[in-house]
Amino acid sequence: MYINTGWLRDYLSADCKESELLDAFMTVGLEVEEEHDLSRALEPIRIGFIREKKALGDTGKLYECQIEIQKGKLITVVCASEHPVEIGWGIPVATAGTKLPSGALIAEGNFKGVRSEGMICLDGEMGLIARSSGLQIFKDEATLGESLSAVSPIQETLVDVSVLPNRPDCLGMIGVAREVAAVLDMELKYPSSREMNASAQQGETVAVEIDDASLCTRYACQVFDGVQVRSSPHWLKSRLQTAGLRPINNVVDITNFVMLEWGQPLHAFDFDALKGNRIEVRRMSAAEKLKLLDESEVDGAHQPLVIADAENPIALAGIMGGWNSQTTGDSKRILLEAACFDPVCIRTSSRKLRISTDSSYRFERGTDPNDMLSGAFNRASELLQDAELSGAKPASGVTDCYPHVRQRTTFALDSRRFSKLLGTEISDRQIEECLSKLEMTHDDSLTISVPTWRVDVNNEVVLAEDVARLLRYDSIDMKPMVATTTKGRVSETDGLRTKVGSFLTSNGFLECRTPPLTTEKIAMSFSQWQGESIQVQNPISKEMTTLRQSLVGSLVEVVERNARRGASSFRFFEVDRTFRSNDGEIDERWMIGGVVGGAVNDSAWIASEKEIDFLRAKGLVQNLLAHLSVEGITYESDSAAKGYRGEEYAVIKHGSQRIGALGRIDLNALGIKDRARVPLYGMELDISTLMTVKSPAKIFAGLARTQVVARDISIVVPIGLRYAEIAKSLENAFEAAVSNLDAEARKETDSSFSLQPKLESVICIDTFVGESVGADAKSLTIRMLFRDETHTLTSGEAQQLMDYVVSQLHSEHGVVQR
Amino acid sequence: MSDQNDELVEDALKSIAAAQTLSELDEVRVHYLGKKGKIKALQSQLKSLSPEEKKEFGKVLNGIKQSIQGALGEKKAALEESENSGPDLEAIDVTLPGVSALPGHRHPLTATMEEVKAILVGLGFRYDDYPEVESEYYNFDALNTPDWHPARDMHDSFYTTVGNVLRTHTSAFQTRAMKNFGPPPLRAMTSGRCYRRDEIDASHFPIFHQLDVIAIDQNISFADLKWVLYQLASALFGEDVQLRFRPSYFPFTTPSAEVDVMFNGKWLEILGAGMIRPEVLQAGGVDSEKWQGFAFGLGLDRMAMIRHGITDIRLMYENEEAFLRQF
Repeated sequence: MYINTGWLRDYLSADCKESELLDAFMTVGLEVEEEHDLSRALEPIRIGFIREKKALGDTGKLYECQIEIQKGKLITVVCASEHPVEIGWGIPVATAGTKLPSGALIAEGNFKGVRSEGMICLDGEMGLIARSSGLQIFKDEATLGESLSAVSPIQETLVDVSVLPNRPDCLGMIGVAREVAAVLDMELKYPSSREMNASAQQGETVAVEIDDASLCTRYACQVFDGVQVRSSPHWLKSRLQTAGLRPINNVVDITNFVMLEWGQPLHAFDFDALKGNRIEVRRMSAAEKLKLLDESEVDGAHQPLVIADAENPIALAGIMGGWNSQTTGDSKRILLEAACFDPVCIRTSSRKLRISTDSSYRFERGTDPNDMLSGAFNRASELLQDAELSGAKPASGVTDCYPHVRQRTTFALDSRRFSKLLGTEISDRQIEECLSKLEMTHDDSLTISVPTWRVDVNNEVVLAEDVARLLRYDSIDMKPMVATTTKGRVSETDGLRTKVGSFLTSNGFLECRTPPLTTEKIAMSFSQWQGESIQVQNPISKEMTTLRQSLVGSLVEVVERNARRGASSFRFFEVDRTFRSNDGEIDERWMIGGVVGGAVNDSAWIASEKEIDFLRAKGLVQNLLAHLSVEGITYESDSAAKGYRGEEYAVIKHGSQRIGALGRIDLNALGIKDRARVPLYGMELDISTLMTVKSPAKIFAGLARTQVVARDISIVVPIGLRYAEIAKSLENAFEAAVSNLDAEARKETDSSFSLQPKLESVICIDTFVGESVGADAKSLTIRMLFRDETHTLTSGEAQQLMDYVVSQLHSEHGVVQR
Repeated sequence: MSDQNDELVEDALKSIAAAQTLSELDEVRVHYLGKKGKIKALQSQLKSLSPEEKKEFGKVLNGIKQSIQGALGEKKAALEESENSGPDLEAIDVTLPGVSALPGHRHPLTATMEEVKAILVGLGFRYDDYPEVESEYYNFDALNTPDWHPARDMHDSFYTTVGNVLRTHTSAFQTRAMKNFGPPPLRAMTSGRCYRRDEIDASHFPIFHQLDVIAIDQNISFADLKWVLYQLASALFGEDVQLRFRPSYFPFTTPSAEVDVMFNGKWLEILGAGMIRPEVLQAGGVDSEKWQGFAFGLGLDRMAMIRHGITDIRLMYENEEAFLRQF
């Protein structure tokens, strides 16, 4: 809502600096979106002199003017006859490309074949309230080409205020002025008395019937005769314009002006277009139709609330008037209407019909049925009767249908409760003083009566807020919180996520944040889990329709984006939730996702020949899991999830529990053009499962003082035999070998002893496939580390063990030693 | 014989002086003092001498040995010193960059999130996760924002096909936390993704991050809220941070405030805060006659952007290496 501070000052009892006024907006809690200091904002508007003027076309409504905007430079401007202009006048001109404070951009236009290169600016169009005729005219040729603000001092600001939904009373100048006056210690100056003049019963009578009083709290109307419908005076037009409304005619302008002033929408019907001197406020019936002011037509399908005459609907209640009953230049008698509707009813209609207007916006937030008549209606009536405006005369009494009068609400306050809530000492007097600035009244026992325009006050805490903001939030001193001690901590999963982040970044990974809401294809690719996808019913684009089940797809997109930028090696990860639905149960699961590819050592200056392959990617996963104290992990071949290549894919398990996947990414299957040009590996681990299998704090295993024995065996095995199986057999064989071990005699030991060597590590240190071992075999070199904790093993003992192991492997798998 | 000996010493001293490296010097040492060296050869002559001659010759030999050893020692010290200092063709250029994998980086958003969390943990708040696919009840109704409420217009929500709402703010956690953790005292927080149907531009993205906090006890007041926010802000922006509290409106807090921080000479809006509405406490099963508390929530995207001078929110979701490596 645009507010011109010059206009706002009409309602303030005292003068103040512009800056104080602007500060008051913020202090009181009116949210200022933007402030346009008009003297600065209008700097680009220059004074041009009209050198030629001729009528354009034969409607008499358009003129083509030649305007000198700087010495010797003329532009053509087509202007409407909204304000007369004469040759020789200096007037404010905005050339094409100029932006007005309201945000409107002046563009070149074409009128009847004439190119217009600018606009003659009326005060209101520039956000100014009119000084005199609505157009500033300069006679002194010295002003040619000068900036408007240089020749005509401007002290107005156009403030774009966003009124928060709880305060519809501030959707009018009076409400804003009341708030501002309260912090500036001024009085609110009402523009008219709020006493209804009892007008004698004359001529017409109009009956009003409200069908359902819960939907329409109050309805008032009055007939006016002798209305002269014409253009409004400049002071009124410019005020409407500063608020962004277009002047139409004085009757419509008056209703709009009063709405802007009081926040109460009004409507004026052409009384002679209505049937039967009767107004009904009722639901529209399914069969009815109504053509609205914007020439659209609504039907009764949703049964919106309407205003009807004796026969037909004449307006969509609270939203928009009807076409057939609008006030036109020919109207002689009008029916002025003010009403107060149920906010939810108006909001529902507005939403269902998808029509939102200045009027519905105010009604759906809540209006005041009391000020409706004594304030807004009264003011409009005065303006209609004003000779300068329409010079109308009342032709009926006011019909006022107000079944249940809305009373002011009262709250019995206790200053101790306010003090406790705000954390500072608040006295009864402070409460009374603050609240009386907002026209609340009180009795001796601090019972506060709240005006009915304050629809937001439904709890005493709102009054505590009013007191706090009028005392100013800054005046409440902070104090160290004294409260029961509570245990600060992150959740266990969050702690694990932090650990993952620090491990992966230490290993050269870049952390990403990618949108969880993505295309169905990306959302579902790489998913290793059962469960239905979760779709959004009202997406804003095709790129964001489905909540993802895997993080890897989004990371592949990140790789592709960076490959396009020239990157050649990739390490990206993200820790985030994935989503699926199991029989309607939403399953939100935290995952660790990673994609790697390219050089192992991607340091900037010493090139590495080696590229990430499956085993290197696996190594990263193994180290990560070790860092997270997860032990007993197995990697098994499995049918690959969508997006992975089957020949390089492993499901990661802990016992029978699946905790993740690792595999080479299949760009073809995803229909993605390969820009990375290196094998990419994706990995994903389920954090919630990891949480259940990670080991508790480790226990110290002691330090062996004997020497470890290292032995390598090189064996040839059938090509289909998996390493994990060999390693398992080897461990079993070693255990059997230990039970068959004969200890050799030692010098230092006289008593008998037994050896219990333990296998500490088994690692594959080389694999080889080639002609020399045969087509259906492969060669492995395996290093075993073992020791006995009490005696260093002799080479003979080590040999005994190895011989046994080799023979066992041979009998089990047909393995031969090379 | 003594001439010969003088010559030997002289030669030895010359060789010692001529040695350029420690290994050359060692060769010289072996040549004279080694097992098969010249001195050993002289010693072997002792056997054939009379006791008196032996005595004399012994002295001479000792003299020779001492002068050679002395010279060797001095030269060795000198060579060691020169080898350990001064320029040398084979010394490494220590200013060359180290060889390593390129370092990894946290995303500025998660880094900011973790920093804020850590500060609040220190102030006694517990961190837990709450659903992103949320019910309308927790996202709106429980927060004093029933269906007809115009405040719902402030949040244009995504709905799933089965009728859930993607949480529009982390405030959705408030009454869940109250219910989960039973009667106060309670200090709880959460953070994470939120979703609104905003058009994408430099400062809006339909998916963004918030962090939300509640504290409930018998006497927790607006003044306490200000104190906690100052602790947080000074940890993030420095001890002399300036904050500004402006009245505002959230359906679930009253009094409500928008809080601005003075940053690079400008007031920047960083969070919304207020005292929890009695209606919300009740929805969380907390007796509002007995308990009161505050809530605040901040936009982490905006916070990260302010702290790192990032001018376009989209950069944070594009994940370009050139961007990610800057933090």
